[in-house]
This record gives sequence, C-alpha cells and structure tokens, in this order.
Amino acid sequence: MGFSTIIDILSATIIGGIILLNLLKLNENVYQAEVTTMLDVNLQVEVVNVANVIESDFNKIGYCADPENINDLSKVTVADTSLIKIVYDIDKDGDYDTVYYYVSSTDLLNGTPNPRDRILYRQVNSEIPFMVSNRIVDFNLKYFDSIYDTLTTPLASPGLATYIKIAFRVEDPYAYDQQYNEAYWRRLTVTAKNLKRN
Amino acid sequence: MNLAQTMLTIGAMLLLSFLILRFNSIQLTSAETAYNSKFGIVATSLANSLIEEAKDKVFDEVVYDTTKSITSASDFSTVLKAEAGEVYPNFDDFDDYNGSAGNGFFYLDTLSLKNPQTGKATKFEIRSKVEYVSDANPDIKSIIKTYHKKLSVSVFSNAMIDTVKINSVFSYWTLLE
Repeated sequence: MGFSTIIDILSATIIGGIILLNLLKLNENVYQAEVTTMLDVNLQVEVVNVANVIESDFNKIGYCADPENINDLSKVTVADTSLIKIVYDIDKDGDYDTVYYYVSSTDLLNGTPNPRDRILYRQVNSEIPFMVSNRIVDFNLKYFDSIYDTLTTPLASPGLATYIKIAFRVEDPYAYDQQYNEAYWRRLTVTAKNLKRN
Repeated sequence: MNLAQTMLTIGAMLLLSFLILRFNSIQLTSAETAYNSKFGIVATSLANSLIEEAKDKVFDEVVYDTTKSITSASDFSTVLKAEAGEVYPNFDDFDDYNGSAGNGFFYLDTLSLKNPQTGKATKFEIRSKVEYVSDANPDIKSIIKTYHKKLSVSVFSNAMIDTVKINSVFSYWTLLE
C-alpha cells in the first residue's frame, strides 16, 4: 500500500465522518421537530377544548329555562383570581345550578417534570369535580363593575361583577430540551346578558 | 484520489447540503405555521370578544335619548364615533367602536404570548371600524343611514403572518305594533 493510498483512505474517512455526523444531526433534528410539532398540536387542541367548555358556561351565566324562576340574586356567588362560582340553568330544568371553576395546587401534579402545571376543575352543584385540563399553568380572572372599574379580589360582593376577563395558559407536562410548549387563550370580557341583571 | 472520485465526493457533499438546507427550511416553515396558529387562536378569541362586547351596547346614541323617537334610519347618528368623554372600555353604543375621531378604533392588548422568534411578549393590536351597510349589500359601505351597522375587527401581532379579520352586522329592530 503506497503513501497515496493511505492519504486516500484517510481523506475518505474524514469526508465519510463529516457526512455521517451531518446525517446524525439531521436525524436528531427530524426527531425534535416531530416531537415538538406533535406536542404543540396536542396543546392547541387542549386550549381550544378548554376554551369551548369555559365559553359555553360563561356565556350562559344567569340563564334560566323557566322565566318564572329568574331572580335578581347574584349570578356570580364566589369570585377570586383563580376560582369562580357561577349560576345558570345547565340542564334546562327551570332551576338554577352552580358551576364552580377552580385550580388545584401544583403539588397535585408533582409526578410531571413541569413544576408549574396544575388541574383545572369544573364542579356542577355537589357532583364529583370534572377535570377540564391537567396542563393549566395560569388561570386568571379579573372582575369589573358596571363602569369598568376593576374590583379587588376576592370579591366581598360578587354580585357587583358585571364584566369578567378570563385568561388561561397551558403548558406541556414534558419539556424537550428544557423548553415547555405553551398555548394561551383569553377573552377581553365576558358579556353574558344575564350577568348585568344583578 | 483521482479527479472522478473527487468530483463524485463533491457531488455527494452538495446533495447532502441541499438535503439539510431543504429540511431546515421545512422545519422553520412548520414551526412558523404552528406558532402562527397558536397566535391565531388568541387573535380570533380577542376579535370575537370585542364583537360580543360591542353588540352588548345599544345600536346608536340616539336610542339612549328617550325624548327622541326613531321613526326612520335617518334619525340615527350621522357620524359614527365615540362621543366626547367616552373612552374604552366605557363605550355606550355600538358605533363608539369606530373611535373618537370616527376613523377607527385602536386598542393595544398588553397581556399576551411570548413571540418564539424574539422571546419577548408580543402585544396584540386590535383595530375596529363601524359603518352603515344595507341589508341587500352588507359587504359594501352604505352612503345613507340604515338600520344595520357593520363592525369590522382586525387583530394583528408581530408574531403573526397575517391579520385576523372578523366582521359582524348589528341591526336595530323594533316590535311592530
């Protein structure tokens, strides 16, 4: 084997190595893109689902199927930064029902790598609470009176709440490369017609 | 290595480079699409809530005045704008969402998402305008006053590829006696 052959082998090894490294990097990028996209799509589906549940409830605040039973009592009975109790006739039986939204502490999801995730619950009357989402990191409610002055939480008189601002953020429980995917949703104000009857 | 081998190697490297570049470009495009749809969800929600908010107000300032009776569309306001002293969110009628000068309303929503490109929170710019439209032609601005007003809301943020635009028509109606 002559000197030039050795040079050839060495060159081929170096070039082959560079190509192999590039291919490995490409493979890693493909995997990362696939995982991130999949997680992101799931998260966006989650945010839309949660938004649908919340919107469906909040737009009906104060509604009652039987007009005879409509009263002037407060339709928001408990109001705080991350919990709210609203009243409307869910099952259209002519009686008011209570819907309670609240979030758990982060300790409940200690098993996930994300330190901020918590559960958003929706409880109807005294039924078992329903888990709306287990990826909530921020569930924020703001309350305003009839002239749009911000009300201090927790509201001593929840009946004063005429407009409500809702915002929530969801994050993936698992991170890729220390980055948690996030999605966000918010409403300027909830303008349920019956909310202003208080 | 002879010339043919060198050329083949260079060719292979070029092909690989193109492949990697193409892949990176696809990856960037899909990432952009993903976060654009993420921002689109918020923008749509903001636009819809502004429309709902506006529809919760009365049709026209004149409707508030109980001393005036509305017998025809010509009784409504000529200039569609927020009256003096009316500042968002304290609007009282639908056309206040055409701004105080009557040439459009602008609101900067400060609570927002982080822009994945810059890593900074990106604000949403909400714009709206109100104009009279006819029931026969709701897409075209009416030059005369009618019983229908169209609210056009546009929401944009730096992280979005395009603006989200939603229109809604609000009508004045009364029970016939």
